[in-house]
Amino acid sequence: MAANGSREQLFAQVSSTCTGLIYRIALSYEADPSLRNELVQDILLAIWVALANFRGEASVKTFAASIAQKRCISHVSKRAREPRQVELSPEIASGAELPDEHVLRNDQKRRLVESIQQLPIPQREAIVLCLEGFSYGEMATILGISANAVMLRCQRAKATLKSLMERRS
Amino acid sequence: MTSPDLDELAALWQSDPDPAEQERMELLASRARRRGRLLAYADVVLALFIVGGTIFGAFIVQGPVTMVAALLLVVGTIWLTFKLRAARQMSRTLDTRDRESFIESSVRNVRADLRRYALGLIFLPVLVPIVIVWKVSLRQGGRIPNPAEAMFDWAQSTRGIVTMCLMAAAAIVVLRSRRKLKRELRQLEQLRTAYREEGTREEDPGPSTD
Repeated sequence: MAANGSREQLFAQVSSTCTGLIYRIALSYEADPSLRNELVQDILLAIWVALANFRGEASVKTFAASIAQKRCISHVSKRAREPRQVELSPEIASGAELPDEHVLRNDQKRRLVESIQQLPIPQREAIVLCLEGFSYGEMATILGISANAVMLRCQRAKATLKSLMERRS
Repeated sequence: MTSPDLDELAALWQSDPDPAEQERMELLASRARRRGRLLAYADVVLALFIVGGTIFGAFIVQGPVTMVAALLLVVGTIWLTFKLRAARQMSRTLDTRDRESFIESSVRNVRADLRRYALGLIFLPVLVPIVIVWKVSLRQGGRIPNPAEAMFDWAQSTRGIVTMCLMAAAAIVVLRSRRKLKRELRQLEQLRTAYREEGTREEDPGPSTD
């Protein structure tokens, strides 16, 4: 069990290194910006609470991703309705001034995010972790299935994602 | 993960976030830390406040009815606080292994919440008369010759009407929350089915689609 001081340190580590990851995981589950904001806050609070039981069996990043995925699943089930189709803002990829190639990149990213949001949840969480660069072993820890099953799920998720993106182009 | 197009997608997915977004995330993180610290003590402070106030009131105006009502309030508050803490604890310590057991424990939590709401609907109308009897007895030096008459008088007063309206509003809120919880339960059951189907495909992958 993490002591109070080390919980502070671990949370500081999460704040400095995992906020991008947490934001992107929330993005894959919630298109509405204000609801996404609430979801991110929920995830961060859940991580703070859960850090009291962190024993260092996995990296902080793996731990944060695991909590984030679970909070997102709870969020989806609490919403208890089909996800609202909110048009994603063009600032999803970058808020800087946008030359042409950046506009194109933003459009690609929007298509990617919308396609990920359409995936069935078991495949969605696998592909998000895959895109975040987690190894099959780490993904197996997060998802609670074997590395072989992770590989198969990623393959299916990738195929579904490709077809969804093609349909959107 | 050697497929180049997946690498491209990963680069696109992880592309630099908006700096304002980054700043907002840091703000959210510090707010979460503050909320986490507060949450740990809120229940205890609330219980201490109610129990302390009740004991203080009971000692200022001593009498059999005041003491009984105060005792019931103290026991009720302590019991409710423990139950609330247990419920929150359970939702925090969700099973962290595979998704199926995670969803199972979520289902258990939703069912526990449903039971909690049902208990609230039963106990709220019981707790309010106890509080009223206690308050009236405080005013009358700890004795009430006819509690039913005191209740009737209270129900006809402005304060009584407002309290009953608030109770009705609270009951409507609880009933609506129960409906939401039932929808959540259905959603969780669908999710469980989706994970089971996915798991079955992993046991017997069949021809690859990639």
